[in-house]
Amino acid sequence: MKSKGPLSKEGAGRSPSERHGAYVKTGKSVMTKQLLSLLLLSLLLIPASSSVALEARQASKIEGRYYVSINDAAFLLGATKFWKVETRKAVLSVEGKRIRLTVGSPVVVVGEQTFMLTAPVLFRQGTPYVPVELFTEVLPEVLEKRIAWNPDARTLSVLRQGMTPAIVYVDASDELTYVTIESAERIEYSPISLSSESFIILLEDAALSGKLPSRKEGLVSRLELDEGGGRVAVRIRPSSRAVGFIVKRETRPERIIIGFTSSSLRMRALGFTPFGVELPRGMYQVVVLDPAHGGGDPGVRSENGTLEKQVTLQIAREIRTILSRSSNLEVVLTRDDDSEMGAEARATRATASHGDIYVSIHCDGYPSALAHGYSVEVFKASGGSQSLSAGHKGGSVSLSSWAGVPERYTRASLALARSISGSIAAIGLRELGVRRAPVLTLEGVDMPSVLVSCGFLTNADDEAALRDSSSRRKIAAAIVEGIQSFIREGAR
Amino acid sequence: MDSSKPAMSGRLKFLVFLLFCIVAVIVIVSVLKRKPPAEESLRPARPSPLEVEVGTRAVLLYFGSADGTTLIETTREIMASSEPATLLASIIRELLLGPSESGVSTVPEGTQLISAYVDGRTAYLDFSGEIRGGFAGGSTQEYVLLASIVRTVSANFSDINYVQIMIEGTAIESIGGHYDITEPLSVFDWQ
Repeated sequence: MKSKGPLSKEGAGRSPSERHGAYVKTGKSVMTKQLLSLLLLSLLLIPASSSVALEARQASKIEGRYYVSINDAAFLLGATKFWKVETRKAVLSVEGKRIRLTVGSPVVVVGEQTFMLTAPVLFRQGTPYVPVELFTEVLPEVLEKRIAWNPDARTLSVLRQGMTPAIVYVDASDELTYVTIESAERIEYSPISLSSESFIILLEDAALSGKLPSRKEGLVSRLELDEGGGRVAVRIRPSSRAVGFIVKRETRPERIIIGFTSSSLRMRALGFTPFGVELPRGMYQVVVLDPAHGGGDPGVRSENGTLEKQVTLQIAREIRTILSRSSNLEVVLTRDDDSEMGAEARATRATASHGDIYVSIHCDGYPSALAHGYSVEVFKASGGSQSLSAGHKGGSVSLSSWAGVPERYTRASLALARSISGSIAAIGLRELGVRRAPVLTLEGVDMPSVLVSCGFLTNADDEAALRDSSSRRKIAAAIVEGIQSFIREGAR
Repeated sequence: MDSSKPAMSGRLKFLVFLLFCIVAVIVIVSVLKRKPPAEESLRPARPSPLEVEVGTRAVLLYFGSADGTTLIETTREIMASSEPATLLASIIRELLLGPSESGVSTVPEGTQLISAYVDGRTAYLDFSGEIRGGFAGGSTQEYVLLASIVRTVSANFSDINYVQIMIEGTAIESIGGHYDITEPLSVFDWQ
């Protein structure tokens, strides 16, 4: 197994000197490359808190106030910019209106109206800088376009069509603390995690506006609001005194109310849900089954054309049938048809169904037909998580709402994995063991969770078994046995 | 006024000549030192006549086993380089060529390494889109693919603890949808 000659896949047809030539470069392009990679690196290393969406601009703090450059202002407003150096006047033309600004002056003229800012327009690095106040106080009165200011992230962002501005405030009394999200239109939300350690609600098509509430008040030890991709994550660390919570909706005005209480008496009276109640033995009620892939994402395809997305749904339905017959567990499927779903949507469905156990059903695939057998996986965060907490995913800003959610159940998840792995081995199938990795589909799952790979569609024997309904029933029965023995053990 | 002009241009000529000499000395010194570039491009540059053979070195590569349960270790001789990023790129490109004897390549056909660089204890590997676009396997293939890359890096660079995989300059969520690779992967986890 020594060196390959130059006539390998990539080097075919090239002489050795040409291959070596690949390592010679001119100094200039090396510099450019280095600069580019440095730039790339710096982009990657921007911490999540200061990540800026494409439609947002970061404000700079100058003399104790927040400012944005005239270029950013023009970008946000979609305005045409005129800058007259001699008179130090800048004009932004938007929606048929002209916004006139003068360096050194707090006076803003919009069309015929004159406004006074509390700070003057500044001149820095050859560019006028306008106070953020222009966007929060003046422009809402005269323009259609809405720009939201997020003082936490220090960003101004364009409110996209259909995005609802939301105001968040906290009311605290002795035994009760409410976090209220108020908006003019109804905002859809998904509960991501509702535990006493981490309480996360995701608001869809929403943008923060107005003054942000304090980060610590009453029974809220920490309140964080993250904005990105048209969504807002409300992350709360409830105080250790909080014994119960409630999430409810009110209309007129539209409100989503998150309440915490430190009193058991109030909790019962107000219909709050108690925190941190470990489900005792036999208290697992809802099993969420997740048939992997679906829709335009077929997963692995066998030589015969068997698709992973079909097999996973068939097995999940089979498990549901057996579980419903043999237990009083409620079974929820993340998808019960051929629809395409992202990892986040699946996790949200599981949390919203108040699931107690989550089993994601997959088939496997490998370049060599020799690979066969069954395996079970449990979530383990990437080793690099501590060193990098950037929220950049696929070039855009995403919310890292899932951080730390599945790890809380590692012990229970491992017990569930071993139980399922054992019951698969017990029926004579080749069991490849339990693997721990940053499994994407388990990332946001707020309950003990595993991923079961039911054989390789790239192996003839495994594939034949997965095509056969009685074999599938056996596999489903083994998974059911694994789930039930885990529940019997009562490990959580 | 007129008489000062030729004197000025004479001085200018001298300055230009001096500048030319300095540049020439720098170029000669840098060519003699032959400091290898930190980065390299996919496009082969024209081979320089001054290019001297710097020798080869044995590196370790890891491919998937035929049954997908382990990694197969292989040694290869590649062009040596004292520059970690260049060596890293050569090693990963060698890995992309696939196994010559036993073992299975889990990287989709056509995948190229665009660039590699090292920052502290993290290696950054930027691949072409084929690594994701051409991926059609299951979780085992994806696991072995990530493990073979991470293991290959860690086996040849003892001081690298993390590997960040990117596609065309961007950190991505996943290659095949099974594993989250937004964060750098720890060499201790992917063995």
